[in-house]
Parts: sequence; structure tokens; C-alpha cells
Amino acid sequence: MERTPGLVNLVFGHAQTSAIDEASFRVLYDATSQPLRAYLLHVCRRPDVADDLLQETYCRYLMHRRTDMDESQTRSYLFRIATNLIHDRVRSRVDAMVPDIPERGRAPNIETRLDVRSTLRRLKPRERELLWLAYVEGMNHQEIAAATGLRPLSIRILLFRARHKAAQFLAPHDAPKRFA
Amino acid sequence: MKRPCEYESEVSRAARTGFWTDALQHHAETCPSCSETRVVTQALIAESARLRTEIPPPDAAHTWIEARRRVRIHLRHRALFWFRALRILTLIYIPTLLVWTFSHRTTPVHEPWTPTFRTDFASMLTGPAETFALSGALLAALCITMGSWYLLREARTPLRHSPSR
Repeated sequence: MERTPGLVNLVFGHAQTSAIDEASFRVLYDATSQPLRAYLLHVCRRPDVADDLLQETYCRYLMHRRTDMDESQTRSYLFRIATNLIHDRVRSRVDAMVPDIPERGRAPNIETRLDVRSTLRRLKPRERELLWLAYVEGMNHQEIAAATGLRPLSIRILLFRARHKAAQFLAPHDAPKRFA
Repeated sequence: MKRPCEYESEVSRAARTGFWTDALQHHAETCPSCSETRVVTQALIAESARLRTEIPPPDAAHTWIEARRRVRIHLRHRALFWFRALRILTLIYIPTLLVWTFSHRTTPVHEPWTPTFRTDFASMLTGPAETFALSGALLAALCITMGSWYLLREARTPLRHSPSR
């Protein structure tokens, strides 16, 4: 997935990996890698791909990071890189055949797990991204817009539709439709 | 048709943290939109917990070394850019110099040859030729300096862990 750098970047750009030492990077990695990997795994659904994208995300962060970013901005920036990488992968159609995440151990509630998994299969990657960022990462619309590259005004309606769709998939089929 | 509710973010936060007030819980049970929010958030939180504990992320050291490797490649590409530019300059300047020399060749006159290269060369470099030659020399110096700078930076980015690790 390596790209040829542009002429301007090639001549005047700066690789900043040396500006952060390994210990600081480890602290950052330990704090952010788990949620980021869960996000990648949730959206792309393959552990090997998620690991590749996770590594790519941190490599790009180290190459292009700005030194004036605080903790929240760094988190947003990492999610933005990860989202862009997912979009690149979706566009390149390399994951036409997507197998399930392999089972390891037992989750406490198998029904919930199966419901969520079947929901994942039916949602689009963009919908999975929005739902995860909003409801797992607790990002507001501005932060989601920054992470996904969408307009803040579009987030509200897209999120509403995605949530409605997910809720329909998660609802038991024999349950009465209380709010229909 | 359900409409977005102003309490959705609070319901989502409560579903994430588990801190429900009575009023909010009552609202989540009666509001269609917030009910959906609660169901989806709880399902996703359960999925998140499973994904985080199931497979740990790769070690930071691998990512660090990979990033260092990429920085080295990046710096080498930049150095190559300047050395390629130097090669292009050479390809432009040498033919130009030859053409210019032949076009300015004067009829030989019989006079004693003086082996003072400096005088002859300086007398040839006048007007636009002087500017052209000087700019070529400066561009070559720039290319060599920049290329060497990036090569030095590459050499200062070793593929190993920090001593403090």
C-alpha cells in the first residue's frame, strides 16, 4: 500500500519519526492501539487485515504527525488515518471474499454476539464506521466528521439511518414492533 | 417514522458507562429513537469488549521498526531525487557547453600560445555565458548538498531499538 510521494513532499517534506522516541511511542501505542484495532476489526472484519492497517496507521502517523497535537487530536488523527486506509481498501476491492472473524473463546452472551455479527454482515462499511465512532468511541458529530471526512451536517442523518438499520437487524423477529 | 431525539447522546453515554438515572431510563424506554440508541450501543459495546480481549494488538516494537525502515526509504528517495536532478543538469549542461564552445570558436590566428588557462577561460565566460555557467555550478552544489544531507539523515536513522527501551 506504499504510495509514491509527491514532488513537493519529496523535496520539502519532513519525515518526523526521529522527533518522537521509542518510549513515547510505546506509551501512545499502548493507550490507543486496542480501541483502534477493535475499530479496524469491526469495520473490515479480518484480523490479518486489521493488523496490517493498524501498523500502516501508526507508520503514517509517525511520518506525517504534527507536533502541536494534543491527546484528543492525536486520537482523532489516528482514527482518520485508519478510516482513510479502510476506504482505500474498500475502493481497491481486495476484500471481495470476506470471511468471518475466527472464533476464540466464548463471549458471555452468545445471542448478542450472533446478533451483532449478523448485523455486521449486513451493514455497509461506512455505516459500521459511523456507529462505532459514535457509540463505542463516544465521538460527537464534529469529531466523527473529522475522522471520516464527511460533512458534520451529514453525520446526523447518516448516523440516524445506520442506527435505525442496525436496530432493525438486532431486534428479535418475533418481538412486537412497539414503536413502528 | 422515528426522529432524532435530543437525549440520544446522553442515552448513548449511559449505555456505555452503565450510569443510568431513573428519568433517563424511563425516557429510553418510551422514546423510540433513544430505545434504538440503547440497543445498538449495548450491542456494539459487547462486541467491542469481545474484540479488545479476544486478540491483543501486535507489539509496538514491530511497528516502531517498520516506521524506521520507511523513514530510511523515504530519505533515500529524497536523496535520489537530488542526485537525479544533478544527472539531468549534467545532461543539459554538457551538450550546451559543447554547442556553445563550437559556436564561439574563432579563426585561429598566429600568435604565441600562452599556457594561462585562467585568462583564456575567463575571457570566454562573459555576459550570458557567465550567468549560465555560474547558475549551473550553484545548482550542482545545491543538488550535491541536499542529496548528501538526506543520505546523512538516513545514516542517522538506524534500524534498531532505542537504548532506553
